[in-house]
Amino acid sequence: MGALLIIFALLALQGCAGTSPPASGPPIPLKEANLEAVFEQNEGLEMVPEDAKELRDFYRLGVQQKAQAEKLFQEKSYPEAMKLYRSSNESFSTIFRYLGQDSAEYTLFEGTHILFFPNLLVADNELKMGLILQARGKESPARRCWKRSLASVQKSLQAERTEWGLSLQEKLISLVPSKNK
Amino acid sequence: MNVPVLLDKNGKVGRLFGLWAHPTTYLIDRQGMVRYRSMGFVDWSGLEATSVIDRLLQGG
Repeated sequence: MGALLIIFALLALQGCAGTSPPASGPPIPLKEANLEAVFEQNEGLEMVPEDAKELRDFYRLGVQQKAQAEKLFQEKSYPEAMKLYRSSNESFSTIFRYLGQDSAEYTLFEGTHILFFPNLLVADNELKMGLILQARGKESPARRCWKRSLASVQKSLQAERTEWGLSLQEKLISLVPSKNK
Repeated sequence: MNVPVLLDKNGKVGRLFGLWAHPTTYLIDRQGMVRYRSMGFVDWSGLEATSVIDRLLQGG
């Protein structure tokens, strides 16, 4: 009986992991879901890779690494920014082994929700990495980054339609030539 | 024993600590570094908790 219950539970989980229908309705406004808001929700105690144990830790770590990368990107410290964008994506990749969907109302615990956008954050990291590579004259690797970015944006929009994601998508479509889409 | 209790009414402290489960306990050392985190209820008189505290006290 115990074994049957476990099998049933596993089947139910598999069912949840299937592809969900695309999110519809008006997109979530940029003022509600945006990069700055994500950074703000994850500032404070610094997460170090050695201490990350739970999925929430890896999300926090990925966001904090991205926040540092953004600062370096603005300062045009491209090699350092590139390294942090990669680390950030590695942190998010741990999440994707278990959770794949973005959510504007991810429940941490009762009454507390956060913006949970690992796909969109990965997409933004890839976009910026592509821009760095392009600035170095590496057009082909840059395009590969943008194509990966576009795939991540579309995954995000599938789960949660946001103005943030749509604007990123628009930017990427303008960067990736149509023959390579 | 009298101990100060912080009431985090708007959840700001919890957010800054990256709290995502109740209850969560953090042990902070003299330098203000978080040395231990435990999610869920802890038996503070149990072997595991006292071992952690002993180890942390020995280390710093």
